[in-house]
Amino acid sequence: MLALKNIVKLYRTESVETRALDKINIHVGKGEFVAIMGQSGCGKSTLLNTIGMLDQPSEGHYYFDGEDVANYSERRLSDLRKSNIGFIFQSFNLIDELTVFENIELPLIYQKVAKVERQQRVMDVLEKVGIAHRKDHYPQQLSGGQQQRVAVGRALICRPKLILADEPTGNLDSKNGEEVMEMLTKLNQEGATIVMVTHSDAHATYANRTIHLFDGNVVTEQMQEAYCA
Amino acid sequence: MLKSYLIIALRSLLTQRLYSAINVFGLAIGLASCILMSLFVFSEMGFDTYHAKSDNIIRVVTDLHPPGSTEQRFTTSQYKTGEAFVQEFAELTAYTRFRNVGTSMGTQQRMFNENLVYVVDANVFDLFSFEAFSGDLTKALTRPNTVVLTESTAQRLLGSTNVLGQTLMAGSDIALEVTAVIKDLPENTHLAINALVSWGTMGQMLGDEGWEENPSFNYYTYFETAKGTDVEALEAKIPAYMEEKVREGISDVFTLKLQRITDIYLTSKQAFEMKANGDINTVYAFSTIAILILLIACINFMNLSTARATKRAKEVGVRKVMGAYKSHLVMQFLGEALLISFLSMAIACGVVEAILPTFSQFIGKELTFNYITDFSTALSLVSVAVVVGIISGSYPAFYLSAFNPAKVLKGELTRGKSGAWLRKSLVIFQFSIAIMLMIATTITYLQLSYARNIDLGYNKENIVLLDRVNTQGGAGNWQVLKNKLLAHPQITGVAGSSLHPTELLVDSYQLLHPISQEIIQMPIIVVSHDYFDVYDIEFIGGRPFAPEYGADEFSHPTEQQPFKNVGVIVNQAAVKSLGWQDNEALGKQLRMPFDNEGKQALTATIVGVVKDHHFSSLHEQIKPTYHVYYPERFANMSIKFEGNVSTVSQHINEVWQQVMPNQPIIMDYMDDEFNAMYTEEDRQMTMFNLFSALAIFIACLGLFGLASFTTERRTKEIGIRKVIGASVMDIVVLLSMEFSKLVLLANVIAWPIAWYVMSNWLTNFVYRIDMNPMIFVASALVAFVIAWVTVGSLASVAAHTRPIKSLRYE
Repeated sequence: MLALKNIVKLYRTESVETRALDKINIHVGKGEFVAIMGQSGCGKSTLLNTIGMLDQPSEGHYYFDGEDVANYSERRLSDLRKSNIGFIFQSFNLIDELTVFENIELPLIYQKVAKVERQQRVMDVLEKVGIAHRKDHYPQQLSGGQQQRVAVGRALICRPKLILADEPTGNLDSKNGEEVMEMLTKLNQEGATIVMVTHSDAHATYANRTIHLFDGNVVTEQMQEAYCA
Repeated sequence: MLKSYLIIALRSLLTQRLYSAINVFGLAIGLASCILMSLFVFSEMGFDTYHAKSDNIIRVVTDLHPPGSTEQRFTTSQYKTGEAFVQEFAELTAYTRFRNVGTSMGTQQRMFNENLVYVVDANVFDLFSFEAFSGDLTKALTRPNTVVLTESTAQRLLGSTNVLGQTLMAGSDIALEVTAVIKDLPENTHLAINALVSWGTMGQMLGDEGWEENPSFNYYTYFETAKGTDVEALEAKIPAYMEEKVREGISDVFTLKLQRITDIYLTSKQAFEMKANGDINTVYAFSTIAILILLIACINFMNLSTARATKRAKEVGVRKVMGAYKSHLVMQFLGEALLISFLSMAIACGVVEAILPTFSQFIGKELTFNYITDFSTALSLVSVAVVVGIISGSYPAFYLSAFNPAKVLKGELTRGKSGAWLRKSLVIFQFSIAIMLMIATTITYLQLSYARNIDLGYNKENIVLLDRVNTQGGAGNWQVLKNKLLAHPQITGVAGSSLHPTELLVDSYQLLHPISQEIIQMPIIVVSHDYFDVYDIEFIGGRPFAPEYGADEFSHPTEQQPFKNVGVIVNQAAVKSLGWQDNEALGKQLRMPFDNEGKQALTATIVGVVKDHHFSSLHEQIKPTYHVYYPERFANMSIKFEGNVSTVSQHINEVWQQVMPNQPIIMDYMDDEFNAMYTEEDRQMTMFNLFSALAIFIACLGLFGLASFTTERRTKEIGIRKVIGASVMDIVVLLSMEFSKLVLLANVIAWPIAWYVMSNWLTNFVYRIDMNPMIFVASALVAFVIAWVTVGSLASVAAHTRPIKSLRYE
């Protein structure tokens, strides 16, 4: 599905150069559910953003579906992103001015999907994430768990090959967190490839594999017991 | 604490240089424009206020409106009016009169044409505050043959200002003793005076010792009123007085009206004003623009300040956590606004100082801007800076100080939707003004171009004008002059007339209306044989005057010959007013009574009908006019030439010296005279356009402010949209469309107002354009393009930012 070869990400200010990712090599196969863990500032989110093509690496190669996209233009990355990757953020990142239905529908509008099909697909996704009864509400009218369901729905609507989740349970209580993890597991079982950043050991256990980062380096890769067997 | 506020304010200004620059310079431009406009407006409104008795001086004017004739309004009245009114009305305590006696003046060595010479009552200096340079004004004009000169006139005519007791010649034979010299009149008076001659010299100056027998309306008459006089109530008494004391039914022919001296310059606009008047509508228009510019600049300030609010949120949070009350923060932000306001005012004063000389030259008025020694000006500027600072700083101050510390410190911006409608309303308001101004300037420009390019009906090119050609030797000299001029091969025609085109049609004779049988007044122009040919005025029937038709010649009936026949040529407007068709008028006869008893009259036969032509200003409708051939009254000479003008003018000067060596030549060009009618209008139009453009520019700055505010607030949303697939164009369109809605709303507001105001304005013009909806559409398009370019460029920058930066933003 994707492979990172010697990926380096540098952040420079006038006097300081920070190496957020230092020659990272990662491979994620199709249908995998990978969790990325590590302390704050170890480069988890940078890695996820690089995988999600929101940020470009300073050095190295990034193969997505066999293509090296490391030096693609912003426009090509945008095209690739919108048809292949779904994002779920810790802070949900819903648009406050749009209803639940409209938030989920938005990616389809940018993909110029016809209105009738859009409506059908949005309704399907609303059912799938269990938020159909709130379709006309605005994000501020929902609980955190409900908002994250909408965010998951929006990530799914384009039927992406890859779902990237950046601490999807970080802003949720444990019950809602569990529900979101159940939902991601189900999606993975249905064939979606998922890469998730998390601080929670418990939630990392939902993944097939956990990658631990420290100071921009991969320190361990660990298969869950269930999958090792 | 104050120091901390000041430091923060200065650092805030410096760290956000672009916004600060837009804020400070936008406001400075607004203030500078407002100051310039205000200087102009106050100068216009301050006319004649410098006279010590300005509150108690009024002028009587004549409104002539005989039935069936065009109304004529004169600034003058009869010489007896002054005395009669003072006797009749207790409210009037004194009067003084001016009679214009333009003449040549100077010494036997050198004479000058002086138009601004008036015979006046000796008490003129009691009413008006003329400043003496030398001599005793209280006694200066008590004797006949005395004259008071202005400083510059004394210098010009006698070569010095120390001329007390010297003798000055008026014409060739009137000796005047200079008894006083006054300082040149300031610019802000409706009076235009070079020399004042004592009343006892009237007969000599007019060349008619029996002048008191002539009841002409040639006297400017001013009154001093008792304190507390209700001028309107006094004016209302005049018709009854006239009916009783003058003649029953006189009010149907003319009425006398009163004007406060301080109102004359801006509101009078009657025939024979001493100098060109201003226009109260211009003052209104410029005051409105000045206020609008300032308002737009204040709104900008508000929008730009709130746009920067997101950058200050954390500071607000920390200050509140550290114990600041909301009032502390309000004071802090208001203080910042005042700092910017005063900074802008200082820059504005510098800008005004720098451009005032050019501006004064451009508008043809000496404007002064003295804020260092003039306390009231300085106080006004400080007050404006304070008011502007408070108005424009109040909203941002309350907006910023209301941030919730818990939220802003967590990194959540207050969403502040409640303020969104206000900011949007302000932008709609600004754009409504900008669109209205665009429509107004376009319509004004089109109207003035249209009016200027109307077919005049006569030729104004290649014509030299000579004035006062009949003062020496009358008609005989005129003929000699003409023959000598025509000897030059480049001069193709010479015509004489009582008036030349562009002058006011003020002479009229009585006519018996052939259908209504009422006595009417119709303007008359005395013309020579060649007049219509020189001016290329087209005949639609009949013929011009010509030597072979000697019976055409006009002359007054006499006791020996009480009834005479003369020939007249009328224009189409006259034919229409007399109730005929163009093709019916030829050969018709009109009766011109010369007394009320019918003992003397002329019978005028219409020998020609000429096409209507715009003799006077294009602001006026073409008046019914008739032309007569009357060689004694050829005051002007119109000389048509071809080729190089310099050789022609040299020849004209030489001929003039040969024929009239004792009289200075007055030579003008017809096209200059025509353009001079519109010089003021052109200047004001340019000024109006310039300040409108400034207002539009400042409004654009405001839009930029709100657009940057919105993009800043929506940075995260832009990031989200990009992550889920929006292209740069999608983002640009999204933000631009939002502003397009505002511009659309602004159009909805601006169009009807602009339509109403400009339709009314157009009614001031006799010949006017139709309101073309395309002007409105075009203005809307320009507004949209401005909005799209402004918002689009900002949105494009925001949309090109990598989405991860946007999402990291909060």
